[in-house]
Amino acid sequence: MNLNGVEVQDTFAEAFGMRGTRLIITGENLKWAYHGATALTGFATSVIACGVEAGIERKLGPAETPDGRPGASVLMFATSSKELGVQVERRVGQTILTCPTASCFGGLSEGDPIALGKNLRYFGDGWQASKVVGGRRFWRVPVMDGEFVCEETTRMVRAVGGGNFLILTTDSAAALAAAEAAIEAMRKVPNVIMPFPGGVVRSGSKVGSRYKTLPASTNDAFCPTLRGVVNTELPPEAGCCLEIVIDGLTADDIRVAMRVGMQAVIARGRAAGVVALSAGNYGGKLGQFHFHLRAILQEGDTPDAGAPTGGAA
Amino acid sequence: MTALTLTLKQALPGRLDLSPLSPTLARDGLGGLAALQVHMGTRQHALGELFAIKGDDASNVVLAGDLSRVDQIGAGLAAGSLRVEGHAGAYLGLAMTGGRMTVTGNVAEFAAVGMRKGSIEILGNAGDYLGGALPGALQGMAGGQVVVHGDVGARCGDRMRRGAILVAGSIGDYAGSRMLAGTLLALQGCGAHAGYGMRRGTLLVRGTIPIDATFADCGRHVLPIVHLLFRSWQPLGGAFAGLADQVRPVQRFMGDRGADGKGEILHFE
Repeated sequence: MNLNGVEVQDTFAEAFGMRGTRLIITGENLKWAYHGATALTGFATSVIACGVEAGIERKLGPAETPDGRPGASVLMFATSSKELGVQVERRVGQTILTCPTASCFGGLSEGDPIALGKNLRYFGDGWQASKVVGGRRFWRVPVMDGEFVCEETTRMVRAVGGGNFLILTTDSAAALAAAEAAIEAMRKVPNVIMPFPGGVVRSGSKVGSRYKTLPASTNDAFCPTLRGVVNTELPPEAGCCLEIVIDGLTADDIRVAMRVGMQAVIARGRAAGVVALSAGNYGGKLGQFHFHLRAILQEGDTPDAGAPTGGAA
Repeated sequence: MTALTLTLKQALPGRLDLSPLSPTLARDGLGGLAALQVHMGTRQHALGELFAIKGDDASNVVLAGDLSRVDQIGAGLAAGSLRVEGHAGAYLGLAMTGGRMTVTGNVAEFAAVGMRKGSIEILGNAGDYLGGALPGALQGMAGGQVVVHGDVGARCGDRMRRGAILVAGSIGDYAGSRMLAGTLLALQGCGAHAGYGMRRGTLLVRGTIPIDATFADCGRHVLPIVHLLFRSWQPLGGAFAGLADQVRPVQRFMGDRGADGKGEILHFE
């Protein structure tokens, strides 16, 4: 399949089942809501060493948040419900409780409840108080700028992590430009995040390594500087490769995001240095979700594109 | 299906206890409704003797006529809707566990006492002990929401444990007395000794409110939880709709320091 001079390889991305949740962070203004949300989702690129993969889904207007203040919607994904619970409490406790004027709410209406402010409330040392509003319990913890308001629980759902595609270009500048265009388009898709820096990752990995202690190592087949000494998968004209990894609340959300992203890359075309689109997989043996690039591009717009799952607030 | 409508045939000579109505409708439906025995003083009457009964929807009940001498309307209501066209007597919605009740007129004392869930909307005024506790009971209202568009008498929310009472008018003396938790809103002030003996919970008051010496002034603040509450009350309309339109700082008084002292009076303009 060749679109606008870009070869779409006949391959698929391999993704895994994860547990995910959405949090709503609000603040006195968007600036402080984002300070909180940015810290909350910091160092959360990969579950390999960060515990969770997290990112800001989108900004929220005052009409979309429980307390009528501007905010940000954040998605967090972990490999197990236990780890997600640990990470949510740890991160909210260190980044939202500490952030001036910020409040934290659950952002999904379905799923199993996990603790959000349920244990963080004890920071109030006996001065904490709760209010039940519309069947949801909110904790008020006195802090030095007033009160930290935090919903008691957030909902956790079964989600999908690790959807991806690779952008193969002639050089680094073309790869960055294509990846940025893809991310800009994909950020408009609800229910997904791209957890790596700027949404893009350069260190795609393969399973295993020559070292006993290292279960994953650099994806040498796509490393341009090794093309002469390894079994390379780079076309002769490709000199750079970047990957975009997507976590989503459902497989359909990832499919939509992948299509939107790939279309943005294809729109730039061969003239802008884009050579091919590929994907990272492990031979189909590890992940239960397979996203075939060509099939996704041929599907066209699905009707559920643009429908957020579970509501924002 | 049309709403089950019970219209009082004539003015009552004494106080009528209508507590069997809602549990019987929930249990037996319309079967034998006209023969249901209700007490007026020491005498028993068949319901059909006192009310003209029309309609067939047992989950949507309308009571009409001068019901100001009818007590315990909607007592034990668990689901469905009950509408009172006109005034209602005492103990309206006693120990209610669900459903929705509307009264177009005034209600007498002890409405919503022991209420656990559901909602009551009163378009007129309410008497003393709204959402309070029965004499001897350790807890008053323990959940649900009561909205009053008029004024409320004394001891509103006495020993209240959970839920919200929202009053567009004023509340009499001892608002939220001995309150354990929950939320009480008065948009046109409170009488004397508001929050007397309260342990936890919130009295949110606009207008005049004398503050007892047992409440400690904790200063003026903008609290996100207040705005969260205001926004949740927006759909109620009327005087409640505009509360969330602007940031409203509150003066926070904590007390009653003679009791547990974790309660609060939040006063705003």
